[in-house]
Amino acid sequence: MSVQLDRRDWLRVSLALGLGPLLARVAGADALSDFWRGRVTDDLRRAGELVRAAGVSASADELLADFPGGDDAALAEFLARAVRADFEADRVRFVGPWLLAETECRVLAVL
Amino acid sequence: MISDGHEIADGTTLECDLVLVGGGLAGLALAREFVGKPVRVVVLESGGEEPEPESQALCEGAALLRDGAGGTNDLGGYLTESRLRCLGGAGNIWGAKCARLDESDFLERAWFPGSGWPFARAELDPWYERACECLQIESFQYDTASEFDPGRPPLALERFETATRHFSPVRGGPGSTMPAYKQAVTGADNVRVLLHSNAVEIETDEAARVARAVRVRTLRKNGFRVAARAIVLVAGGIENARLLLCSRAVHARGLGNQHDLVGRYFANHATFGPGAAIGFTRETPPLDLYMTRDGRKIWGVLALSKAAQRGEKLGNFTVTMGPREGQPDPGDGPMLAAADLADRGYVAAGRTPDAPVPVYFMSEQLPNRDSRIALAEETDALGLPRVRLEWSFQAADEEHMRRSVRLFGRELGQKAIGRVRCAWDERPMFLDSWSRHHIGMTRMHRDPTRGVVDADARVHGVEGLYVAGSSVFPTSGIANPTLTLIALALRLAEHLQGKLR
Repeated sequence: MSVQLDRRDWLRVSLALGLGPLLARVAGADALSDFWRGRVTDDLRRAGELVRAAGVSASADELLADFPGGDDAALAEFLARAVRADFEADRVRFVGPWLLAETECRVLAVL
Repeated sequence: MISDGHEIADGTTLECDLVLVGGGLAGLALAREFVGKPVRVVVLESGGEEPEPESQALCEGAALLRDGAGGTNDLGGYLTESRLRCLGGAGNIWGAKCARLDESDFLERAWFPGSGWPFARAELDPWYERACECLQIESFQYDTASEFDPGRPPLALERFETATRHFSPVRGGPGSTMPAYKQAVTGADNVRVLLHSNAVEIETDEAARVARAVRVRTLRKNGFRVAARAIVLVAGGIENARLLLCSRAVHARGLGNQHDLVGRYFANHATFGPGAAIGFTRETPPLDLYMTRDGRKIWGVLALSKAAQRGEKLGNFTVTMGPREGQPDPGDGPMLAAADLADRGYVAAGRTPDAPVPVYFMSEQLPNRDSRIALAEETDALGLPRVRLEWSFQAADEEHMRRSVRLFGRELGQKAIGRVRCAWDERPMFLDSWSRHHIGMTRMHRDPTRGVVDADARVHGVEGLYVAGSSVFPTSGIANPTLTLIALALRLAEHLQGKLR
């Protein structure tokens, strides 16, 4: 079931995740300028490039298709649980030399 | 007592009760069991008390490694680098890691063709205890808490358990107790250690049913015989098989080789390391147990559990960690940052995880009839055919390795501990395997059509001829083989004491 998040929810979730494209749906990139300056954010964007270069494609809508709704903490928990479930169910793939869960690849792909 | 084969007159026949062909760790362990007993023992050591180039050159030969996908790698000097001809043998250069084979390693595993020993681990347990004494390590009732802070426990995984290895002081280098280990034999009145004495053939009766003597030659060209009631080949996994193959006076294919098994089923531990690492997320757990350091007595590796092996139909597999060295790969930081974010539940950002910890993976090689040593046309300085090693993996070996690594990576991710890094595509699997564990070429089986030696380590069909060493292992397990081969040697010593009484 897909649940519509309001503008504030998107902002909070995106801040928590550092997910640029998700954020772009509710706010301009300037709103996260401080966040993007951090080294880890650069790392995440670079990881996104690596994942997309490995052929992973995903959209925010697809990623959140099964999200039952809730606040940013609920979405974060939803994604983290999906990552762990992927590892358990062997939904994994090598991106370059790293073995990653499908969900974390798709999260990175939308960065 | 110790003397030199060079000094024995050409054509001499020495008489004794027991001749041990090889003065390495196992040969000396066997000999020690007879010290002070009413048994005359001769130990034939190919080299001197210290390594010498002329003796070591006898190890030269061709060595090829074939992966399961058709790739071949010339292993260059593997046959000389992985062995040592001098008193104490490869015990002077080994890593000194001691571990028992697991109980399940002795069982026939339906998913692991060719597995199964002719006895259970319980048969060997008392001898393992004796072997621990022999190699001067603590009993294998491991107590990691005595070595490590109980507040910093080993990694807790489900499919993988922490398996520990003990380091023996009986080795080369500073602080070694190897000199005393040798002295226990060389100082005995009833044991005669002959240096520079190369066994070149096992003599038998006309039907090759009873072993009578060992023909010996030195590099100074004098030759002699050692006649004995019992002969034990304990010259190392490769030389044991080579000597049987070279003993062709009765059977053209060699002694004990009616079923074309001698030299076959060469097994070793498959290793893969290029680009392999664990990237720990959240925080790096205590890893002291898994890192070697000078003076350490216990060391840990992560081993695929027996239940997981059964459930997944896999062989033994371990993950060995090493210290962080060198520059990280440029892609590591982003990937680990992303994995760290996921493992912390996507609730925060801004942390740079620790650099990955290098590992190598090791798996048990499936018994393979085509993995073998054979005699080459080229001969050595003694006129014996040199060895040609074809260490061959099968596609299933690669599949086992890949699945095992995947299982490991999945569990790390599932438990939000970290991610596995493994650069499969940078180098064909196995072609860089470096293990020096020479296993299987005189494998043990009750059925003479499936093994070279019986459960007593006697060559099938040949009275008085025995084999000791890792060449009798039907399968390698994942433990370093020395403790097991010493245990088997001690067990054989008891058997021989009964025979020679």
